[in-house]
Amino acid sequence: MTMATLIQALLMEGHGAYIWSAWLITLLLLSLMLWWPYSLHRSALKALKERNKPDAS
Amino acid sequence: MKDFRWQQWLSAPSFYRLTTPLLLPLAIVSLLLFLWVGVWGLFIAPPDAVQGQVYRIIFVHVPLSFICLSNYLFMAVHAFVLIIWRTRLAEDIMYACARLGVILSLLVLLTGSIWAKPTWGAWWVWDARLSSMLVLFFIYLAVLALREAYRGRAVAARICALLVLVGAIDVVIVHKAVDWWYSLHQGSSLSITRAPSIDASMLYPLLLAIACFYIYYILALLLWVRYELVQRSRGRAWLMDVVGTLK
Repeated sequence: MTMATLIQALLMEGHGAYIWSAWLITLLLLSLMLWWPYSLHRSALKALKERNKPDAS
Repeated sequence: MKDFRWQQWLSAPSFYRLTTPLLLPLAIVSLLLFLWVGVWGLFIAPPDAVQGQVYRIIFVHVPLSFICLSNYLFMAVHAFVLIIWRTRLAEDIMYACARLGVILSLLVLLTGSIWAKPTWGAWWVWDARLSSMLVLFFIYLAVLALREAYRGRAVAARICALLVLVGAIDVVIVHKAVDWWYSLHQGSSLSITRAPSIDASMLYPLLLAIACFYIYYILALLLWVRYELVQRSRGRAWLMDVVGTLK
């Protein structure tokens, strides 16, 4: 694939900004909706583990 | 013969244990399918005869609309279960659906708006389909806001469930808006009752995209429900066992 073909594919006949932004926003927010509950869940479990740790003293 | 009670599978520890091995395979499959949909939808599928390249937004906009409306129906079923049987798992699923629904409906509105600008010449029009989808976004938000507004958990859940059931009317309006009123929004490209109105070269990547987004949806919903379960099960023995295995 030449550079010109790649740029042409990215520009999408002048509609590249619309198409790429729609896809990127989707990818970004959908990824966030996986990372967010995973992270909250992990933090909640870690907090419980800390609270139930036997006292060293 | 051992007494089998199906209800035990709806308990928090059983649900948590049963769903744990599903998470990684679902994540891998949805990621691989998304990459496949991206290549097929953005580069391999031919441009549309009328809209040219910009129609490629269909491969995210339509699957998002499908899962957004399905999510509401799933939430409504659990709202109904919650009102009749008052099961805690139904409550967890209802709130998880509401959290997901806010982002899904926002994405439907955003991708639709981005598609509208080059095709209609405007980011937004007060069209029946668009307006009813905006109402759906506010209903999802209202469920989460109502949950926080009440101090009593059980009361809040029942009021939220009632709102969800009443709000289900809006899903019908979103679905039928283009048939009932004059609309700039195009009619459905896919239907169970009639042949698809788009060419096979665009239909197949679209069907793949829908399958991919549904797999993603199952994964995201499971993650949110599991978080809800952990939140309400603090101090329970089964959760302390889970915490004990944490590295």
